[in-house]
Amino acid sequence: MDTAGEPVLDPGPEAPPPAGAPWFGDFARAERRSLVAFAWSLTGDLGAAEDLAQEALEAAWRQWGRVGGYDRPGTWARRVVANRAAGRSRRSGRERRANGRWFGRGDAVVTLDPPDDEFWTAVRGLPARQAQAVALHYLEDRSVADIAAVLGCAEATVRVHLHRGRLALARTLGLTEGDER
Amino acid sequence: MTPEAHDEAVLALVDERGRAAAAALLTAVEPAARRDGGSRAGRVGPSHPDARPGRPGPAAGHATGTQRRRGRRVVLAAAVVIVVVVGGVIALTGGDEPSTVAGGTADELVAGWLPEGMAASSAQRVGGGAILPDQVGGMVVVYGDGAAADPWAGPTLSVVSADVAPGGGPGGERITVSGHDAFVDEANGVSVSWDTGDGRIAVRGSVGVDRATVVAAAEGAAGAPTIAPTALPPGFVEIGRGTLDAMMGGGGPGYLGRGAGLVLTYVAGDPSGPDAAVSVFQRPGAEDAVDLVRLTSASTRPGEVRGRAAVVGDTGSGPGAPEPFVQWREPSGLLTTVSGAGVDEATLLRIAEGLRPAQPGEIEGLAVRTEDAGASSPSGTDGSALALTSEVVVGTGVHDGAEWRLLLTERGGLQQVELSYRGSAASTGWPADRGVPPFVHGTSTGATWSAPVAFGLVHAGSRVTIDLPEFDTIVPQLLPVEDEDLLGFVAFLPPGAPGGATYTVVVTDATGTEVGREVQPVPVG
Repeated sequence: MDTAGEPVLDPGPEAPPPAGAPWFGDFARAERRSLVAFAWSLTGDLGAAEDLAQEALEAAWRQWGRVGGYDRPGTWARRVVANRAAGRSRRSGRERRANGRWFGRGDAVVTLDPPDDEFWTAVRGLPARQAQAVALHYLEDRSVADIAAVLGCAEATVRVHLHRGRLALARTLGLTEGDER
Repeated sequence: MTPEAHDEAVLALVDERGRAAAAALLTAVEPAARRDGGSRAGRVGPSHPDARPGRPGPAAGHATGTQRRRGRRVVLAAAVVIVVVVGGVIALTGGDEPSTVAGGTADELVAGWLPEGMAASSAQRVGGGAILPDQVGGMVVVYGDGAAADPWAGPTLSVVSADVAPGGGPGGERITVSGHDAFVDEANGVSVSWDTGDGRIAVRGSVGVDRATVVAAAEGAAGAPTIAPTALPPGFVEIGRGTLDAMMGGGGPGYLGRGAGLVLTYVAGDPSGPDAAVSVFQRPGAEDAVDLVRLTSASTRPGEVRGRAAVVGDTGSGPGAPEPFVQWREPSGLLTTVSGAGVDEATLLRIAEGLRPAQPGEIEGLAVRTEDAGASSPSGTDGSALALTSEVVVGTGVHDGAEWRLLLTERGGLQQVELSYRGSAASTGWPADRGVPPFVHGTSTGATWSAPVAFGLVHAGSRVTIDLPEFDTIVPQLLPVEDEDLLGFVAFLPPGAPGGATYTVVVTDATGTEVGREVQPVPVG
């Protein structure tokens, strides 16, 4: 699994969270949905998205003594998702579905209206960094500074990713002036 | 209009589209996010167990869940079993993926032909007390028109007797059937279900069978697992019977059996190449059970594989279909199912036809290769294998007015430590031919148990502590295992333990060296 660039992931003994850190249960409960959505926007596979979100939360838990002290630990978790999603093949989803019947679980899919599904398909067609920036921009209305923190790049770079990504989406989706959804 | 102004206008359209798509996506993943908080072993965060279907009927249209793949670090280690009671169904949920275990029968099959680029990915033994998500035992008997060329293609009535825990209520409109409370659900076909003293019975009609017919059949199913002939429509006869695992889930009842089985998975070896996977399931089953998979898959037909009567179907529903499957019974008695994703039916059938008996040690070798290809190694499995000739009672006690028993057992190639309490049991196991890991830990949560409980097995000389925030450290009493250098432990967590918090079990050996640590959530509610 490609974890290059991932925030520190040393699986050592847990350290107690610093004073004032949020309770991990609250953090996980508040972040899980957004993490799953972000991961799905990048992979298009709900099973893989659930795994990615869970991996990010587990990674946060293992280092909660450090991560819990961050101003925005959710940013850290999104970075884990972004980094790991890039290396996540759809194959894992196929393998899961192939044997999912044994486990009594049907195919896990996200059902969206065609225009919404088309939009996220187009997002996944963007270069990885553009897709990540665009997904964070729309899913969570994140500021450029926040997105830069997640992606680990300069704010100016994020602005470029967003601008190019949005224009590419307009082309892919065939949006022209005067169109309405 | 300047180019810049044009761009801004177009970007505004993209933004509008993007915000709408984002809102829709966040709504769509909500069930999955809530489910993940609980059934996904809840290593983090609070438990929000999603309802497992406690009655026949198609599963929800989306986000029905996935098998959890959590790396292979516990492939050989004892895995945690969590008992959750959801909607009246006891679900044994593996904290990690099923264990890869040596053993099995001499008649098991492996792929003899695979498409180019496809190779073995994993070998897992499941069921039989091993770690299998959502195990529910029980029977299903199906009735259809005995004069029809293919009675499964017409209307059917089925009766399911599942050993789920009573409680929670199956849901639906309340009626009285044979003098007892029952519930009618007409969401997708008609089903009538009710709790018995030790489980749940459900009678379901396929689409096209009206409510009166199903209710009449339910009246005749008081002696389940069968329906009295007089309560059946004219011409209806029994056309299938077997354990629930013959149905393979597939969007239907979703029940799973408890029979020991083997799952081999083959995937396209090149991540950039064909995106496909095929799984081969083998478990004991009856000839009459072959057709049961037709209950849970709409697109099926009779077929033949390896000279045996088979059911061929496809459950593909989302992007990337087809997802074909075929099920038959081998002369050895193994009910065998081959299912695929991203492969066409012809390829799948060729794989099925090409299955061959495994050579001695071949499956075990495959498991070893799987582990080698996996992530970190499992926790220690040092020490000689434990010789269990019979069930061993490690200890008993009473908590909150009910007796608990801690047992050592061996089933289906797994040895396990099992805690029985208030009519249900939770267990966690390790391969029988390996030494007992230094720390075997199970946990059980659920509405039918009065409190969360941690239990397990450690080596002699070990010390076990359980830390729960805002509570004093718990030091459970250690229970010697007769004639073995092993100790069992059972620790009920204190009332008032905050749901969503986590507790940590730490094991140190005789030298004070930490040999095991598990973090588990305290269930919510």
